Amino acid sequence: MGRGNMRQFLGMPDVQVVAVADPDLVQRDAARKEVEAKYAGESASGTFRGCASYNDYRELLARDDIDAVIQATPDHWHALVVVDAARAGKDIYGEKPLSLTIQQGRVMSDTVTRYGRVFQTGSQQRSDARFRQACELVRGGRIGMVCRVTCGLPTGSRTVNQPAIPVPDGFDYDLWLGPAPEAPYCEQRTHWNFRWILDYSGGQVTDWGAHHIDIAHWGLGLGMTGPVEVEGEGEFPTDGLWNAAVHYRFVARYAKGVEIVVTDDFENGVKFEGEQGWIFVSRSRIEAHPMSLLMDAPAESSGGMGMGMSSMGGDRGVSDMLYPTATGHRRNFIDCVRMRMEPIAPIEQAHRTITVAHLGNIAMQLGRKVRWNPDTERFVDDPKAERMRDRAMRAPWRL
Amino acid sequence: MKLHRLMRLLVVATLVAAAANATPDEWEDAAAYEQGASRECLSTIEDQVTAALARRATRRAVVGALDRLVADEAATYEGRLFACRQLARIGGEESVDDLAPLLRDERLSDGARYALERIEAEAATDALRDALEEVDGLRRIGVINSLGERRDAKAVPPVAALLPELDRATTRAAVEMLGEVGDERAARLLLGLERARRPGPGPALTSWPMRSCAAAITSPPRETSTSPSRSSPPWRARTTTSTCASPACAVWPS
Repeated sequence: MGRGNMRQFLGMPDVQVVAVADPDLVQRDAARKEVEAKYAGESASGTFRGCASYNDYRELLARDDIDAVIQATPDHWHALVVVDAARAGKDIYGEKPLSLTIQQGRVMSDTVTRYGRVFQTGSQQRSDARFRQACELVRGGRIGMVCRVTCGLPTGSRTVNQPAIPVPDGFDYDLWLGPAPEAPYCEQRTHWNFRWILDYSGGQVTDWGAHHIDIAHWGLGLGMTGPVEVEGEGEFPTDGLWNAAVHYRFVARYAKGVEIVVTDDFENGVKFEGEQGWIFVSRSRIEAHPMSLLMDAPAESSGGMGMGMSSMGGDRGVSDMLYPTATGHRRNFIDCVRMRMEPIAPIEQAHRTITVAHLGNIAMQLGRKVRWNPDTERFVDDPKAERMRDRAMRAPWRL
Repeated sequence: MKLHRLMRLLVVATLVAAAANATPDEWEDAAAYEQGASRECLSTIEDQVTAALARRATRRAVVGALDRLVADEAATYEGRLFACRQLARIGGEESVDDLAPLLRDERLSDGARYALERIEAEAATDALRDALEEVDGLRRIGVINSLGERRDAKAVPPVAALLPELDRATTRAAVEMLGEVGDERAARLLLGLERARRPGPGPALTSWPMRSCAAAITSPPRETSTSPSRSSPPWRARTTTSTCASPACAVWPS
């Protein structure tokens, strides 16, 4: 994911990648070589002086010639990297899901705000024409009062038990674990698969929930608040290395009555249901009932997720144009860095989004309804759930 | 009559066992657990912890079994760490005596902190504070971090006393802990450190804690605060109710 993001930035004329950091030498070297290949011509002309590579991201952050960083680590590292980057004065393109715990997200958002940093969350669906069109229609009242939004996410994965094996040469596994509890190494614990283990992530609930709950919030205009109660059921594997929910369904209810349903038993996408119709949107299509809803506001081809989106056409009134035109998710970040503006996916809204996913996981793990105060961000009279709002970190790490 | 009493005892014993619903085999398997083996035994116990969170009648039995596993020196590291982490969910004051010695353990110190950080009882804070002078290296950093997490104002003097002898990593933990505590005594210590600092490249070690301290001192008392950024878990004892009239406030960096 880190290199996928990096390639997008490598293609921008006003961006130069000068350093990479990864505790895995193989990944780190591959990234460095990719950067140096991209800038080979500029090296000859002297405008590029090579790509430094670091095992420890803190060495990268200590450089004062770096303006911004991409944070694309496993989720259990998000909070530390973002907070350290903000404190070091860097702007941040930060991958979703924003945080591992609710409290971490709160600290991240507060820190980025306190230090005046620009933060773009990697929720690139906000820069996709279809998702934006759906949200504009909903917020424009085209389906009337919304009573329910269903977020269809993928089913989780299982694996068998994995014996401990030696850590590969060049992989600083202790640093990879970082703030997470000590655990023996095995291949399926790290890299892509970290997301199926609750020590490092929240499974599909947070991985895809970060995208679709974000769209639900965006469409409903609830991006700065949260639900008042959450309940649901999840099936967590009782054996095997991965332990995040594989099947799940939870409902988050908001003070004004609307509910967001998050489930793996629904087509991947987001469906808004209102008193006067519905809209379904996914990465491949947008549908509505009545279909006429879409006739006056055709979605332009986005050219792929987060890849360039021009202004919206159609005959809609100006009042429906709720969001600024984006020219691509990562481009929007760079533009905001230059102009010191808030990007299209700001950190506070990402925190509110992922809080819903965390609340869902907590409710499912407790096997009961939890009540939540979105103003104070505390569980209501529920010290048992409150214990799950954050986790202690392995020494020496602290937030 | 005797038979009747015996029957009643049997019924009670059966009910307790059913409530705990984890057989000795599962606890034995947990005590022997290492990665690669079946995780079923841990899942069963985890389910019982979840059930016991909602049923006071079974809580004592489950917590007692976890306490025994934590203290079992014959158990595997992974089994004991698992028990520590379950106590982070359900442990109470009765678990502190079994957890406290592990703060001194080379490998299980973090595990003990996972639980002690989450246990509301003051005894958990006392155990962390008591360990401060008996551990070093990463264990001491961890203990300081946990005291900061619990915003333990009583830890300020012992941490202050340690400061002259600490290495840079532990000093960083200590000053950040002072920032977390955020009372006037911590603020004065941070100011003293800042004034004694030699000029050098990079931000001062104290800049972030001083900001935290300033935020703590200038924030309204917890009872009146509605801002999520100032919310604290219940075990955090924010004692300061000072306002920005504090003499230290006038010199905080903006």
